[in-house]
Amino acid sequence: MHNKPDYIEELIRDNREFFTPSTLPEGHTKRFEQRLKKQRQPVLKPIIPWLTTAAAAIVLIAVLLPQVRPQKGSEKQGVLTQVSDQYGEVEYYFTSSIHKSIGQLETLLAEGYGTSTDSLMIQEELRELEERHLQLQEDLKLAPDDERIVNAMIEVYRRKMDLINAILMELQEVKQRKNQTNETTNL
Amino acid sequence: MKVYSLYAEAMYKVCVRIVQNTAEAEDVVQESFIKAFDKLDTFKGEVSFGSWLKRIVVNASLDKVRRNTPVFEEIDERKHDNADGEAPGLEEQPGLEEVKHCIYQLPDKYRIILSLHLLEGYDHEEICEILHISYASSRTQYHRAKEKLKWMLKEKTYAQ
Repeated sequence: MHNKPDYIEELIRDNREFFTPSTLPEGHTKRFEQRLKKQRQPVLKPIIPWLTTAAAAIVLIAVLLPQVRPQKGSEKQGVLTQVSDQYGEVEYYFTSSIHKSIGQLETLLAEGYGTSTDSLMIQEELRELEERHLQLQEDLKLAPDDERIVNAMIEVYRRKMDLINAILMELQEVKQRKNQTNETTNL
Repeated sequence: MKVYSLYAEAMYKVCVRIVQNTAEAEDVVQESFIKAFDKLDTFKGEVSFGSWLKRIVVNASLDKVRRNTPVFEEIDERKHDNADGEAPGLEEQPGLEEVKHCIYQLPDKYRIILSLHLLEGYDHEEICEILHISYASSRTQYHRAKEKLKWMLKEKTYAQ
């Protein structure tokens, strides 16, 4: 049962803004950025746990995509094909999955989801993976039968795919959330 | 930073209404955003993101008040508590400034429950969740808070 609102209740409800204090102090955004940066520093590695934090939800710029996009035809002409057909299939699976995820990321970016925040950290991670990949390719030429190199290459592919998919998932959540919060939140 | 820019102002206002200190409020709000970012995976979309975030800010603000005043100020309820009777009638309708002044003078537990209900728009079911009290207690405390406010307004009128 609801009581009829009295004068005081109506007065307060109808004048919420009057009871609302001043706006945020100047420089609050910069202070928040510093605080956020400080807060995140200890959790930069490993890649995936870091990505699972909210920071990753609003991350990504187009500049990092070319680094991980498989080269044209590489899906069929991967280096692991030279080792065995089975490894070639594994490589094809990873490169085509990465290619597909990047396509979805580009669509989200084109729709305006994602910012340049933290992109340098992601770029750095991807650059390291790419360097490792190239190094392993060289190593494989010298020792084509070395399974440790093959496994290391597969691991690099897996990490690349995890990284891209984690970013993709976060951006999809951002998109979903943005759609929901576009409605009036009655704050 | 987009999320922060979008919600910071509104969350700050919610926080200051509870904490009553602008410097502390900025601190609480920023900590709340970081906390929210860290537990984004727990956001299920059952309520709007703004409502979810607001609840985090409200809880953090209440924690801050509790830390500042571990034991909420007790009021002389024998003098002012009139929960079962009629609230004191106000011969003159008070103005906004007087009401605002008196709200700030209320004991924390009364000021907070009034703010949650009248300013933040929470109903008693939500308030009892936020304050970890029973539904009946939420209604009773709100009723007492409103009466206390009216007594204060009446006393203020007589004093003038």
